Order: sequence, then C-alpha cells, then structure tokens
Amino acid sequence: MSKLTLGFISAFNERVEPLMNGTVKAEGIELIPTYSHPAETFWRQLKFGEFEVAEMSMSSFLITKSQGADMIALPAFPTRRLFQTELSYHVDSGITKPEDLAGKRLGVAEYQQTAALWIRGILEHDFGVSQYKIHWYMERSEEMSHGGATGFKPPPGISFNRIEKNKSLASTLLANELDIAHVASPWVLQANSLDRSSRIGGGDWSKIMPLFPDRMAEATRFQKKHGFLPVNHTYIIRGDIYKKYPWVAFNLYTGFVKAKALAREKMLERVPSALFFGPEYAAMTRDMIGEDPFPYGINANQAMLDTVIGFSHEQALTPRRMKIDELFAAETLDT
Amino acid sequence: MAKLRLSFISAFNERVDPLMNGTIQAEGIEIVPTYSHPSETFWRQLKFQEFEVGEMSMSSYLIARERGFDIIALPVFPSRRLFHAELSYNTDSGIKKPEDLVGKRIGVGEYQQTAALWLRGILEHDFGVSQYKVHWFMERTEELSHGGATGFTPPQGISFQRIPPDKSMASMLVSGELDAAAINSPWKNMPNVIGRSHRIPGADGDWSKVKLLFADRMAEGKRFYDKWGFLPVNHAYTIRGDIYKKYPWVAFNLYTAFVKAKAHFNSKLIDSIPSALFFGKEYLAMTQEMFGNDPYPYGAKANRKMVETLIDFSYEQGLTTKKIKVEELFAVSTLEL
Repeated sequence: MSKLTLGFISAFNERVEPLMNGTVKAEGIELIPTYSHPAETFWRQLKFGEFEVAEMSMSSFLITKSQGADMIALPAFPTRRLFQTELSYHVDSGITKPEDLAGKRLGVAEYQQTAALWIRGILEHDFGVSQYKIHWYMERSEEMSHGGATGFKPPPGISFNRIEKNKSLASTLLANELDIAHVASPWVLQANSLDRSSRIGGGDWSKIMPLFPDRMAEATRFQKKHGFLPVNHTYIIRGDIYKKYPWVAFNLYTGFVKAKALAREKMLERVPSALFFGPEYAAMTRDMIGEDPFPYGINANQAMLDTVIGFSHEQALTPRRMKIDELFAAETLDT
Repeated sequence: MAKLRLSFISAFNERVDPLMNGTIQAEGIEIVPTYSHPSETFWRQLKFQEFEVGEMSMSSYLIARERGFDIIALPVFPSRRLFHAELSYNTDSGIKKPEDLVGKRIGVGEYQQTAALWLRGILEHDFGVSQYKVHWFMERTEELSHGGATGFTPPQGISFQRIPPDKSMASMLVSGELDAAAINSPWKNMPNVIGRSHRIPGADGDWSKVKLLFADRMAEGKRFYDKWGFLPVNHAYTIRGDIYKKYPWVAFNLYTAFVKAKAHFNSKLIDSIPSALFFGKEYLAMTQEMFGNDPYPYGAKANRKMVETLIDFSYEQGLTTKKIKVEELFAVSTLEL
C-alpha cells in the first residue's frame, strides 16, 4: 500500500495540528509537515512555490489568482480573528475611538495582508472611516514581502508610505511617528525574517492603548452584524499536484474536517487548569460567537467569502470580483 | 559528569511538565518520568513505593506519616481545585443547596482522599453540614484503594458504606441510589484500575436529573477564596526516605526545579490557551481578578495556612489521631522557602 507524499507548510493551529502531527490522516496521503511563521510561509509559497500544500493568505490568494497563479484553495478556515481589535494607538495621537482615525498615520506589516484588508473594510463599512483619509505605513520591504512576490503597487489615491528599514511598526508607534498600528497580532512580535518589530522595538508601552478596550463587546457587535468572524488564511494545493492527483483536494479537505472535529472534542482538556473556569469561559465564548466559530465549507462561509472578495475589489487589490468557483477546488464547492 | 537518575511518577500537570519533559532540569538529577493517573500513582506509591520521587495525595500523606511511612514531602502544590464545587446531585433527592445535604447519601471515590477531606471540611465549616449527619458511600474497593494501603477503617460515628462492585458513583447517582456524588473531577472519565465511574458510567440513566450543587462555580470560587485566602491543594510531591537520607541535596534541588518549571509554564500561559476560546487574555484577567496573579504559590511559608487547615481537617475527621507539625511534613531545607 503506498501513499502520496506531500510537503505541507503551516503555522501551528490547534484545529490543524492533528493532521500535522499524524493523529488524523488524510486518505492516501502522507504529509511532511513544516511549521512556519505565516509571514514566511506566504512569502516562500508566493515567491518559490516550494510546498505542494500550504497555508495561504486569503488576500494574497485573491490577488495571485486574479493574475492567473496555478493553485487552488480548500474551504478550510482554521484561523479567525477580530483584526480591528488588534490596533493599538499612541495616547498622544488624540485618538480615543475608531472614528478618530481619519487623517491619522496607521501602520500595518503589509498593505495587502488579509488583516489589513479586514481593517480597511471594517473601518470603512462599520465606522465610516474612508481608507483614502488614512495615511498608510507599511513595514515590510519590497523584497521581503508578499506584495513583492505578487507585484504590489499602492492603489491609486491611497496615501502610502514605507517604514524606514532601520525602524519597525513597534518602534515607530512607540516614538509616535505613527498614531496607530496593528501590533497586537499574535504574530507580529514573533521573530521571523519578514517583520522587524521583534528586532527593532521595545521600550515603554505605557502610552500604547488598544483601540477597542472591550474586545468581547466588539466581537459580539461584529458577529451580530455580519454573522461570521473574519478569516485570514486558507489552504492551497499547487496546481501541478491538483491536476495530476485531483483526488487530493477532497481527501485533504475531509482530513481538515476530521482534524477540526478532534480539536473541538479535546478543547476543554487543552484549556490550562490555571484558568480554573474552562467550562464557564467556553460557555461565555459560545454565548458571544456561537457554537462553531470556525465553520468549514463553502455554504457556511458564503457571506464571509463574499465580503472578503468584495473588500479586495473595492480596495483595488484585485481588478475584478473574483468568483468562488475559480478559487476553490470543484470537488469542495458543494460542501 | 554524572547525574543521579531518579524515577518520577506524576500526572500530567502544566506546571510540572517542563520538568518531566526535560525543558527544565533539576541540578544534578536526571528524571525518568512516568505519567500516571493520580489514583494509580498514590496506590502504587503507598503500597509498593516503586518510585523515588512521586506525586502524593496530601490526605494520604498525613495518614502515612502518622503510621511511620519513610517519605518526605516538598512544599510544591501544582494542583488546586474547588473540590466541593465538583459535587453533583440528583434532582429527585430534594437537594437544592449545600445545607440540604444533611441526612443525604453522598458518594466519593475514596473516603480518605484529599478531595473528600476538603469536601467534608468545607461543608462542615462553611455550610454547617456535619460529616456525621451525612451517609458516605465509597467507590473504591479495599484492595484497590489508598486506604487499603494505609490501613483505613471508617472513623468512629461515621455512617460509611461501600458502593457494590458492579456499580459506580456515576451509575448510583443517576439512578437515585445516591443523592449527591463528587463526579466532576477532571480525572473521572480517564481509564484507570482504581475507579469505576469510567467503566460503569450509568450511560442509560436520565442525566438531565443530575445537576451541579454549585450552579455558579465562579461565584463560589470567589466566596471561598475571599474567606480562606487560598485555593485547596490535593497533591504534593514526596521523596522516598532512603534516597533523601543518602542524597539530602535532592530535596532543595528538586524544589527549585519545580519552581523554575512553574515559572516557565507561566511565561507561556497565554500562548497555551486554545485560540477557540478567542478571549483567552480576558478570561485569564478574570481569573486573576478573583485569585490574584499566582493562585499556585509554592513553599512552606506561603502555604502555611492551607497546610494547617488540611492538618486540622484530617484530625477533626478522625483520619489522623494527632496534629502533625508543618515543620515535620516537609524536607528541612525547604522550610524557609
């Protein structure tokens, strides 16, 4: 009995881990896992296409597909966050609420990253702050960015600047050379070869405040209004593999579904006992954002996908509205 | 460079794991870890003393020391729970609140286990329910119990019965043969050779009739902590006497390694919260609001009141015949820590 061996790159994610550590197997497939910081994963995959299966930025995926890239996605969305609540402002900026952002300098790791796409879309649609009224600052250099790999140019009419190479998101925010920045992501302060905040930064964070001090209230508001939580990553299969072995898409997708089911089953056991009230906290999360905040499949993600596709087009990152059936493997479209 | 190789038995505990998986090393010691269900660990240690270092039930330790067992503890307390809040009742029993337990049938895994010791002490001191006015039912058999290894006999005046071998706490609670039982331990569903509730789960019963005695565990946690100033401990770690006599330095070296392992885990705590909770940071802040920044203090000094309470409860409950001194319980080199 032989199996198809596939190189697989992804960050650690509790819903994907059973697939990466071999607890759950995709039928007919043996994965060779590489754990990687998402910033590096997407840069490597967009620039060199090293892996047969890879975690992929939704926004960069839309861009690269609109340019004809040969890869296909699976509707597995194990990472969701409230990216707008990861913005932190400098108290000297005069900002106290989202509506104050008009005219301010806002720093992101990368202009085209999915987190920044959601931030722009949500500020515009939920808080009336036009993306054209903000001064955008991007940290990653052209060589070491996803945009570098997909030929990024700042969209017309956008005030776009790059953070100097000897500075970072963290250092410019702390110095109040930025008014606000996306620095509360779980990844941006972790060492990697694209982002500089782990190397250049540090200092007195007492003047830095979260734009949404009550993340739970903002999550409840967002979920109630939109009915989903924003996704930043999906998984893609390289086109040559998908053409040669079309069965890989469905087999992998069901592997992802099984891995998520196992993670859900074990979730409470994984809550550190130091929290003491794991079941109570899990119930509070359910009350705020529902029984399964990480739905997989096309049907359950229609509204989320329509929104991300719409934002990408509105923000002139893609020249047209991409269609769901050109993004995802045909075998998974009815899931 | 030689190291002393010591066999080490413990359940998985996030604060101890860095020591068991080798991320943190105790000076001069190489640990050979065995991960084990606490019920099995204590039974094996009390009966066969197989391991040089092991997790140990605080209640059984007090009893074992009184009976002359040659073991010494370290003031390391990485597992704490609100044991009385793990009690569930059958709604047919007429119980609605803790005070209603008078005259009722309560099931526990083992009469002398630390969880049951805290349960009896807290019911008596905080809710006025005398241990003599409750009918106690114990699941474990004499052969396969910690009490079997330390010569347990039911204390005078206690209404004590054993659950029949073909039944369990769970099956008797759901069928109404018990009115309340301590079935919400995190260990209850994990297979082990000592308990029976995982094998005889009463799965065909009507579980909608089984409710938590403290419906709001967080409110009860806050009440308890505000009143007592600590969270109840069930386990410590012990070193076998022959090892401690031959290598007395092992006690301090191990203690400091336990401290380092806890600090290591605390530095990773936020990252270890499943992202599916979404609000890990907020939840951790809520817990810290209730119990302070370190709900797991180590050391004899920081735990004096908690340990004295255990000693008092053990004596009051007739499990020990005199009150041992805190100074006698722990390795002398750790008493000032």
